[in-house]
Amino acid sequence: MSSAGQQAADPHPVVDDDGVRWLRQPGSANWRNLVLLVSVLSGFAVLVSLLHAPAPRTEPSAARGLPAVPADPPVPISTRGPPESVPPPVPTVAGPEPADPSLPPQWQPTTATADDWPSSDLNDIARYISPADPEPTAAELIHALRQTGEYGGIAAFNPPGTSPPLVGIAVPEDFELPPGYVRHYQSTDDGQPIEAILMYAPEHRFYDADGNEIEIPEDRVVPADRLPAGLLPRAVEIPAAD
Amino acid sequence: MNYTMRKAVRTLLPAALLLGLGLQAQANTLNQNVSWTVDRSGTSTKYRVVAYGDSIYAGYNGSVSNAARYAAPTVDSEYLSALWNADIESIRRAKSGAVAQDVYQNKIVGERSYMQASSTRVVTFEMCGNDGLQARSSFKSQTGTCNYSVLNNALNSCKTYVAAGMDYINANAHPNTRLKVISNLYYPGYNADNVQSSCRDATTGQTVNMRTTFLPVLAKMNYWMCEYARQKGFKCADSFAQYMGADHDGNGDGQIDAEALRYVAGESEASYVNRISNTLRPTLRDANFKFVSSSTSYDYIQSDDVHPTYSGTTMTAGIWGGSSGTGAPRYSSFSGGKSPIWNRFGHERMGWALSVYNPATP
Repeated sequence: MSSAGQQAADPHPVVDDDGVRWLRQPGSANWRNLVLLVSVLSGFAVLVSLLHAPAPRTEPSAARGLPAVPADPPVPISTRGPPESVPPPVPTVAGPEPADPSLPPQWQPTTATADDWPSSDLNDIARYISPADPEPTAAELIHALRQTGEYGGIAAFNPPGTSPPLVGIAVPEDFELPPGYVRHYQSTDDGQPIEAILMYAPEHRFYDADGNEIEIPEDRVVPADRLPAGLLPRAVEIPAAD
Repeated sequence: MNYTMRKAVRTLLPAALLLGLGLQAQANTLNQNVSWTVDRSGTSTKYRVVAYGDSIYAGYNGSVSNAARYAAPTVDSEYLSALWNADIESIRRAKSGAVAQDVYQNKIVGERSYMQASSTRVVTFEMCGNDGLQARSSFKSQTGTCNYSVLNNALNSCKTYVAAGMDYINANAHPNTRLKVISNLYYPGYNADNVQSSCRDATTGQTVNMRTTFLPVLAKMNYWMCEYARQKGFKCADSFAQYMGADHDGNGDGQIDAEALRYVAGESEASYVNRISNTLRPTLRDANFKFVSSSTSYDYIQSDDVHPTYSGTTMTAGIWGGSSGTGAPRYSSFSGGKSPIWNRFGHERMGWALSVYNPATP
């Protein structure tokens, strides 16, 4: 599926070494600091309310039968989804979506399929972002949704960086591990492999020369001053994002 | 509200736009659709693998505009390309953040045309992860007396729409379809959930351990994914076992830990849940540390502690739309049915788990 519905279609697509035909996307600016959002939150409440589109003429799917977002501080999701006794679902398919007079002509959905941009799915965030908008990071989007009181959908995801790659001492592939140690491999969120680091094996116990048990770090990463003989204390570098 | 003012606000105050999302339409999901054709040299015959799902099958990687090229269904497509000596078109129709009902309604049903092409040979889906995530978030925020209904509701919805999804695929996928397979769920945040609740159990008056509370619910979801698969002619890729158990015998019971965790066809729900939640509980490990041997582990989970890791590049998928492309397979032969990286990344492992069910011929 191509993103041919976008306004800024690239007439000269690039074909990379893998044979992938890339359609250039509109340039995106850097995302503004959301601290500005929080500080002017109340001041724009009225302005935001003016953006409120007319209610959709149809509710294509019961998937969006979520409680209305409260205006007060976020409340946790109490119960969502169907009750315990769930009637058999009846498949429905939305008909062609009528034009929305609040949207400019170039943003009017032309068909009912999810192939087209902007998305005809009312619950698709992409529907509300134009090519002229700067691209948010996932963390910013998750944070912004939660600020509105929304904790479902992608707002239920942790933001990237919640559990970052562990930093430790590199273990060369040809280094023979003594008992009780582990070679641990990680990767970045953009698919780059990270060199293996040295860790303690779980449930393995280490003792000093006097027979006293050595306490190991909670994260099991072997510190540079407690390496097995023959291993150089070279820290693994986490690759920068491409 | 005229267009000029809306445009000004959107341009100058993009954050306010996002505020508006919550007030207008509760938009909280993101369609991330990708089509990637594994183009095998020396053949022009092309078959199709259709995958429906949420952010897992989407290949979500913490970006709102792109996703992993080699997410699990496309990994499986690479295996299939070698097995059948054919080009394989991997079509992923996925919606990040979607609960089971949403995946069923807007993907399996709403986008059924993809599996109705005569070239379709494999249909796969996964769902329920977001039902679980949302239920977990809700439960964690509870104070006072614990209300377990949010967990039960998520379980019931999962069961309902897994069954409905299978029925719908059975009734609507092209008759040329040779394999229908579901992937069940690993437990994201297994270590992070080893904390006490804020709410108190009505019976004991004590707080409850989150992980101990959630694990049986997830086990029930996974049981019914595999049991419905058995009843309805699907295969079940046991991603829970693949991710959460070591590939060696860590507890000395004579079984590879990951194998021991697998769903057994014909066992009861009570039996399966007891095995996972009690008997074999000591063998479970957070998938951030998947042990492929006693001395080697791989991180199967991205830095958000939710989504699987992957190898390689990404494709446009998200707020600017989806994308399609074609390219040569990364690997053209597989020793023992496994690629050189079959156990090194979450998506590679899940894709391999799907591939073991690939029929020998199209």
